[in-house]
Amino acid sequence: LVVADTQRVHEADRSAPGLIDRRLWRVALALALVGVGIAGYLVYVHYAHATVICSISHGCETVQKSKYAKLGGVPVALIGLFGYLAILASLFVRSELGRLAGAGMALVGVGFSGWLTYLEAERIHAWCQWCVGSAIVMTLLAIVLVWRLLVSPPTP
Amino acid sequence: VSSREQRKQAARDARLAAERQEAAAAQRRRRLQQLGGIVLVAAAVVAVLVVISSGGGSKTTSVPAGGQAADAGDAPALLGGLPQKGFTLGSTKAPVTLVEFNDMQCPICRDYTSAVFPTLVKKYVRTGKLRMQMQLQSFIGPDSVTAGKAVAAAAKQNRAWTFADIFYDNQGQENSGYVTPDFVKSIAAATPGLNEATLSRDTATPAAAQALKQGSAAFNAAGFDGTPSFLVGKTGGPMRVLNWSSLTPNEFTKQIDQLLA
Repeated sequence: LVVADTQRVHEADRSAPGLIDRRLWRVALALALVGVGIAGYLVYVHYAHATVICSISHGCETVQKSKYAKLGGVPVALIGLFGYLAILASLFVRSELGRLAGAGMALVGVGFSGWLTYLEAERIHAWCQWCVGSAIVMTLLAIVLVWRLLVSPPTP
Repeated sequence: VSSREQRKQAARDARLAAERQEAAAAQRRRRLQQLGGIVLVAAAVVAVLVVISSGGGSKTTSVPAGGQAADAGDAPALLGGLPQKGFTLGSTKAPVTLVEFNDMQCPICRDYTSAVFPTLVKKYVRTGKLRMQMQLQSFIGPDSVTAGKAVAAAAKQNRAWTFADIFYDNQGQENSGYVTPDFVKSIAAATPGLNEATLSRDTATPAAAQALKQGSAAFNAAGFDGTPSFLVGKTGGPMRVLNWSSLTPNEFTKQIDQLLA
């Protein structure tokens, strides 16, 4: 019986939803790692008082030194780093709950990234390429994780 | 018998297929409901974050020592992307010029910078209608001299207006000796695009002291006796005193609008 059950699980993994789920998982893992890299770099720049590498003249510095760079006294970059790490952790929770949590956090990330992008355009009047990059990564993550939530095979 | 078994098998297969379809449809419905739920929760969380972010970054007058960045307040956002050259803010082609005579220790200058200056920048400087010039004064006390020289050094890096705005955000008690090298460093660290080491070096140059002398001479020539005082006029033309009785944007915009008309 155990052997039969195991075979059934393997068959489910090889099914179309199982294959798509694994591919989406890999894409999400790569995107989350890129996000961790971007947010980690901005956190390092913040706490080391280092000059941020920026191809837009002082844009990153202007954004990082604006009053919107902190949320309740906490650097937004640090919040972003924790967000990406939490999404990364959710990818290793192989259950419905893990998929739900990952998609939910990515959706929050997209919403807040959208707000930050609006601030750059309308209030700060400067662009930070790292922040825009992070917003793009978070948007892609949300698409991938929502897609995964909808198509993945049921887990026991 | 064989045919009956085949029919039974077919019926069983059909039933199983129907059950699978039903299960798949149920799962799809459940997941769409879950997605709707997390979208709603995410929207609520984002709304809370936006509210915190909008009201966040409250200004503080306490400046960290040791060269750490002071609170930059709204200055980087307000002045970001605007041309600054020396003591001038805004386009050189702007039709109207406003000259501000200010002392970095003067609390009313700080009030002007927070209550009127942002409106003028957004309404006129950002639209290319007005350029502003700064004439530094240093008569309140020794801290005014130190601060004025630091602004002059920032002007050399074309960051005088941003530096001065952040300075006002963090202004201390008059003549309390608060304008220390650490204080100046903290303001410089919060000013985007400003090199702290260069500013520190330039603060001690004769050119910085000369900027204060020149500001004082212009102040006396205009017949002013206090700060902030203002001259306004068409760019390149004669300047007249901009009289104000209260620090409200309207007091200034009326007179600028007359010149722009």
